[in-house]
This record gives sequence, structure tokens and C-alpha cells, in this order.
Amino acid sequence: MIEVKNVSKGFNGKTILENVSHRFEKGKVNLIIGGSGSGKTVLVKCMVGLFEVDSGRIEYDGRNFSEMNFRERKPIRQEIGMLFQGSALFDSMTVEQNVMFPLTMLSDMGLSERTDRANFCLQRVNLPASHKLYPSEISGGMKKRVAIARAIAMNPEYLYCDEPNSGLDPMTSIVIDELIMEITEEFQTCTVINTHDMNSVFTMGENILFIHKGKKWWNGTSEQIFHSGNSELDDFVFASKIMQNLRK
Amino acid sequence: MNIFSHLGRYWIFMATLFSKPEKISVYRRRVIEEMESIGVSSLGIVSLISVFMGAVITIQTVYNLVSPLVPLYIVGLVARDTMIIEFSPTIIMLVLAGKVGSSIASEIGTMRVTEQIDALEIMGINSSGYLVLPKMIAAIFITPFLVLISMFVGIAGGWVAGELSGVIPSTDYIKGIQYEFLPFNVTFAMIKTVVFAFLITSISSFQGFYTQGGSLEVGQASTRAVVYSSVLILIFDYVITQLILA
Repeated sequence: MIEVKNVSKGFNGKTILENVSHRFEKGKVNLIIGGSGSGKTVLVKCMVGLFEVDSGRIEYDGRNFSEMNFRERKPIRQEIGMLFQGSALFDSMTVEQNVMFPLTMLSDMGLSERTDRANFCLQRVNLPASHKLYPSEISGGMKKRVAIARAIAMNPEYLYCDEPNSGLDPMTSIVIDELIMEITEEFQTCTVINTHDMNSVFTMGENILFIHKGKKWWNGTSEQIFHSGNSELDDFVFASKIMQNLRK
Repeated sequence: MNIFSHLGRYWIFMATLFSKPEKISVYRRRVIEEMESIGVSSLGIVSLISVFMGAVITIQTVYNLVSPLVPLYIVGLVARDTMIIEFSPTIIMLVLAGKVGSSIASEIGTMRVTEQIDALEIMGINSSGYLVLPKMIAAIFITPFLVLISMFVGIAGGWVAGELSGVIPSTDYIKGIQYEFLPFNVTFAMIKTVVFAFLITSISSFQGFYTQGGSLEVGQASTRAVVYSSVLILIFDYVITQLILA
């Protein structure tokens, strides 16, 4: 479980996050939604330690991540897997080397053990025959799957996904969403997804946090979102004609 | 941001490089790969420039020697000392600042804007140490060999040019390059080379590492890396020469 407690963060005197508190549950898909510039990416970056919080704290199963230094954070970071918006695969490495990378750097596994683990992860994301290809040789959807394989290589306790569907066609988006749900259930990870894809919200939304103007505006499930009574949330979720018709 | 905050960030960046590596074996392999990338791949351009510069130095020195009182073998001596003391360590390193420096800055800058560095940090890997330290060690180790090759090729280029154009006989040139040879000049050149290699890799990596934005900013970081490295090479060339030779 990840707990965000009264987190505030600003840049150059401008407040981006204000007193945000939320609990992200283990074994569930936790969504962070909000408009562009609402502060959701800053929140995720604070949670993984890419930004330091100005006040408040981030706790990983009771461990105060915010007050730790780089070395103290290492054990927690090794329990984190992250899928980046642009996949963030290492260009100079093959697909297999990308998946093996965290194992090579952070584990004591031998080469055959690492290869087996990488093969398992690649098969798990339905990419069994792309080991020797480079990221530039595969499609966007395949890159996302390789990035998921790399994220789960170390058996993470916490899985972050930053806009996992951005730049993907609707079919591939559904495949990626399903994969994330399956992995969350199978590995019992605490999965945190930063998204504004409404399909993801309705199919995966077990615990949704809506951020608006840097504040926690609403939280609930995908069923509750239809009757939230929150005008800002309604404006965001039901902005398109399709969503308005769906609601009717 | 003023110059002091840039300097502060640069030194903090330098300090982060020297934390304990996650896996020594991986770092060792990366050093060897970087030696290939920085050193072996630069061999062609270094040799090409050196041979022509040696040739030009020789012909121009003959052209400027108008007094019959000055023996012709002085041309060999001038070509040798110019290559060893100044041309090979300084000009070749300026060329490498352009080739290697821009490559390092754009590689690391692209990794920054495509979140590859964030990915390393989230894994708990010291990203600056992993990316920069092997480049720095490789450059410091391999560039002295490049400079030694440049010296040899440049002096040989001068001999070939003198022979082909007929401006200086081989015997005079060879006598000149052996005349009053000071081995310390090579040591002095090596000291300069190591300092310049450190400047090129550290400045270029620093520029790339703190790139923000997109492809435009990567290009700007790459340009800054070359300009700052080149200017600092010239300044340090003067400082080291003053300290050691004056």
C-alpha cells in the first residue's frame, strides 16, 4: 500500500500540488485522473522520488520514502516498476537486454537465470519472438509491452504506469489495459496509473483519485463516477458527446 | 541562472559520479565499449587531420625559412615540437571536443528527454555514475593513445610532404626530428591530454544530463557542450603551459 499524506509541491513559487492525501491499495488498479496541468504527473513523480515534496510524506507500507536519502531509498526503488509514457526503453539495447537490465544491475542472478526471467516476462506480455530486436524496430504497442516486461522483471510490489495508452490505437489500448489488470491481480501489485483515457477509467477504475487544480477533488470507483455530484469531475469525464450519451 | 549556480551544479554533478557502482563488472564492460566509441572510432579523423597538419607545418616552415644561416634540419625539429607540444594534444582534443563532446551531450540529452534517465533512477541506479563515469574513464585512458598516434602520424606526414614536394631532403628532416629531443615534452602533452579529456567528457555529460525539453534543446545542449569544452580547453592550455613550462 502506498500512502500520500498532505503532500504539497510547487515550482518557482507556483503551487502545483496542495495538501493531497490518498491511499493506493495493494492488489488493485488505482487511477489518478485529471486534466492537463492538474498536477497528476507531478504527484506521480513525487511518489517515485523524481521530485522531492515540499511538505507532507509518501509512505510505502509504512516506510517514510520522503525522508530517505538516495541510498536509503534503493531497497524501495527496487520494489518499484514503472511504465513510462514514452516507454523509456534503452535505445542501445535489444528488447531482451532491456528486460534483463534491472536484473543485471540489481540482482545476483547468473546469465542463464536472467535470460529465463526475461523470457518469462516477455512471454507474459505476449512478446515471445522479439528478443533480438531493438526498440527502434518495434511498434509503439510492442514498446509498451516490453516496458511492462521490464517493469515486472524484478517482481515489483508497486507498479506505476504513466499514461499507458497514449499514442496507441483503441485495440492496442485495450490489450495494454487488460495486461495491466492481469499483472496486478497475478502479482498482487499496488498499481498506480496516471491516465486521462476514459475507457481505462471505466474498465479499470477500482480506486480513482481525481486531481483538480492541484487538489484532491474526488475519489471513488468507476461505478460511483456516474453519480458523483461533482461538477468539475463531470465536466472532465463527460466532456465528449459519446460520454454524455453513455451517461444518459 | 548565473555562472555560480552553474558551477555549483557542475560540482554536485561531479560528486554524484563517484558513488559506489552497482555492479563493477557492468561498469568495466561499459568502459571498454566507450573506449571503442570514443577512441577507436576517432582514429580515422585523428590520423587524417594529423597527417595533413604535419605536412602543412613542414612546407610552411620551409617557406618561412629565408635565412641561409639556419640549417634545413630545423624544419624537422619545428614540425616535431609543434606536433608534440601543441598540435597533437590541443588541436586534436579540440577536434575531439566537436566529435566526442557533441555525441556525448546529444546521447545523454536524448536519454533525459525520453525519460530513460528517469527509468534508471526509479530502478535505484545512480544514473550519472552509470552513464558518465565509464565515458570519463574511457576518454582519460584512450585519448593519450590517440594523441601519441597523432604525433607519430603528423611527423610522418611532414616527412612525406617534404620528400614528395622536394622542399627538404629526408636526411635533413630525420636529423631534425631527432635533434635535441626532450622526452618531457611528451609527458607535458600527456598531462594536457588527460586534463582536456576530463573537461570534454565532464562538460558534455553535464550539458546533456540537465537538458530539459525536446529535440531542439538536445541540439542546443550539444552545441553548448562543444563551445564550452573548446573554450575551456584553450584556457586550460594556457594555464597548464604557464604552470609547467614557464
